[in-house]
Amino acid sequence: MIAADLPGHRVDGGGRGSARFVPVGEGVSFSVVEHVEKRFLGRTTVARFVVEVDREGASGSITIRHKGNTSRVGLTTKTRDGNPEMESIAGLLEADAALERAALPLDFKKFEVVGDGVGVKATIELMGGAVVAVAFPPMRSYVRLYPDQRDALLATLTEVERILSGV
Amino acid sequence: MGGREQTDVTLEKAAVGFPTALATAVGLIIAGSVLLTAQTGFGAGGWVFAWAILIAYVIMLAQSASFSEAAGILPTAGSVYDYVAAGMGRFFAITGSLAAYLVVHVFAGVAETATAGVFASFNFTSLERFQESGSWWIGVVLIVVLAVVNMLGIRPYGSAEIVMTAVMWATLIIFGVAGIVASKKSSITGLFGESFVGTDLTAVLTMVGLALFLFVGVEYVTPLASELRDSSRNIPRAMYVGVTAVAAAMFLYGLAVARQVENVDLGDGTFILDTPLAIPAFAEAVMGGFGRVWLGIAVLLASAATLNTLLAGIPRIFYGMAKDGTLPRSFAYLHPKYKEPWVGIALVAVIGIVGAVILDGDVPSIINLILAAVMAWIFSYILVNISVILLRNRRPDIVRPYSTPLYPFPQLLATAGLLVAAWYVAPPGLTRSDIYTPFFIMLGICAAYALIWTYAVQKKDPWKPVEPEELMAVEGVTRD
Repeated sequence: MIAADLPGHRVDGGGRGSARFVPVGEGVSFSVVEHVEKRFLGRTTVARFVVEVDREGASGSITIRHKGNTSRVGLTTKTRDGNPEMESIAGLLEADAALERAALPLDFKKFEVVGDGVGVKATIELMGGAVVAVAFPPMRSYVRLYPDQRDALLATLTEVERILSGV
Repeated sequence: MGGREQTDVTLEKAAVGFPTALATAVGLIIAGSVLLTAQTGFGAGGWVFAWAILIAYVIMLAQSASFSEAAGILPTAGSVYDYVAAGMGRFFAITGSLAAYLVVHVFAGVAETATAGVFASFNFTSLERFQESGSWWIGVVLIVVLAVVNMLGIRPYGSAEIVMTAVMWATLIIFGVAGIVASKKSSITGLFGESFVGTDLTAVLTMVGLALFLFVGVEYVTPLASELRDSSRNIPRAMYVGVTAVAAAMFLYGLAVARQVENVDLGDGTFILDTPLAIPAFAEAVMGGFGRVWLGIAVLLASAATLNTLLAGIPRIFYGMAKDGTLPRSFAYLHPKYKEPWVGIALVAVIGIVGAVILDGDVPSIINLILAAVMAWIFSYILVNISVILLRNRRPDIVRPYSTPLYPFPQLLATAGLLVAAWYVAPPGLTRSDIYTPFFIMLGICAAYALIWTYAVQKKDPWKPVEPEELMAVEGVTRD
């Protein structure tokens, strides 16, 4: 279903609960990983969009969120268990104007960068691209990845990949 | 989530299959409004209600055949909307899906909030003074707390959620089995006790509406056809297992309560099995005072968990509707820090609060609401059956991974059964107008909205069926 919301990309492999999306022309490649949030008599299956970059020496995690109390005014980061390399990446992410422009309109629930010393992985989870299923009262709905969110997502992934690659 | 001809992406198997069906069936019993319905049915009807469940079970089996055929033709997430749009056109699709989702949520969601307070006032002695009136505040406090938790993005995931869910299910299994295995404490004759609503065919039919409500949620055990390999075999299997599991669970519950609770007169002409007092009485009979508290906590936890699922899931659907232009843009607002759709969460909570305050724990009014929700389901189910038949006539060429056995008998049987259930929807003590009035008002609103939306906004012909290929293309889905 999510492939229909990403017309500029094609699926190029994958496995159980994941798929690799590559651009038809120019653009960013990324993976989509399914994550099921199970609840009592209900579940939400969300899509997590992942870009991975080889980058040695960075370990820890960075959480990115919007700044502001009622409306979005920028991006802010918070590092956990991060080494100096990771702290440096956090600073770059927070200061990058292009990333801020791309991510401001993005309705993300989770935006995280994790380093394991060998590579760095950015994961974005959105409101769209999700299936909500509830047993009682019974309902099921696919929340689309709407065009504005798709464009913002692709722009954000592009900028994140650039920053993490050290370009 | 990709096109299936391109990749082998599938969902976790844990989301489907027999364990899910069984877990859902058991979990549904403990949902407050389902428990109240089962209690009311068995309390008033005894063995007559057991027969009504059997009839409802047969109707649901036949209905499952329709859903399975439709799901095979249209393996999308749109469910009722897509099936009916393909068969009957957008007007009926929008009206039917609004009835199936929005109306049912309003009615059943309100009932769930109200019954949380009702059961708490009967299960916990410190809250007994609210049994007559005022129990609404319990449900209101519950939903306000849960709304705040969801607004702050707090998720009781991982071990906390698993433990809580496991405790609820274990509670039900333990009490159910203990109730059947333990020596009988009541003086009932027969398995399910006597009927106070008559014993003729009419009496049975008047209980079928209530019995149908017990099967609410059975569609949940059916994953999306696009999630499964060999969906033509696994979809109907999952539905039949789910329907059977629900019926079995309800029979066991009725049996356990009838064996353990003596149906005594409470002094005002009301018998205990007619009231929610039967639940704590059952718990005490099985496990004493400790059992009463244990089951009371489990029922309250189940109400909280059910409402929490609604507060977590429905605002996201509202978000999608806002992005679509179906709802105001404010429903697409996410709080910058907490990343939650506050407007949608607030609306879900307000609907529950307003409804609970108005109902104020009045069980007959709650039952009215539940039966109005049943009417909404009946309406949407009949539309699906008609759509399956119309699609067979109009598009015999289309690939049907699953074809209803003995077609069109299941569709006709299910439709006839549902129409009969709709006609006899009012059990003794209620009138049809008590249930028809709220239902038809809501249906009229849904129909008016469907006409305006299709003509003025979508600018499409509301009566022209949509080709299945077009519906699937929208979601980028293909069949196996």
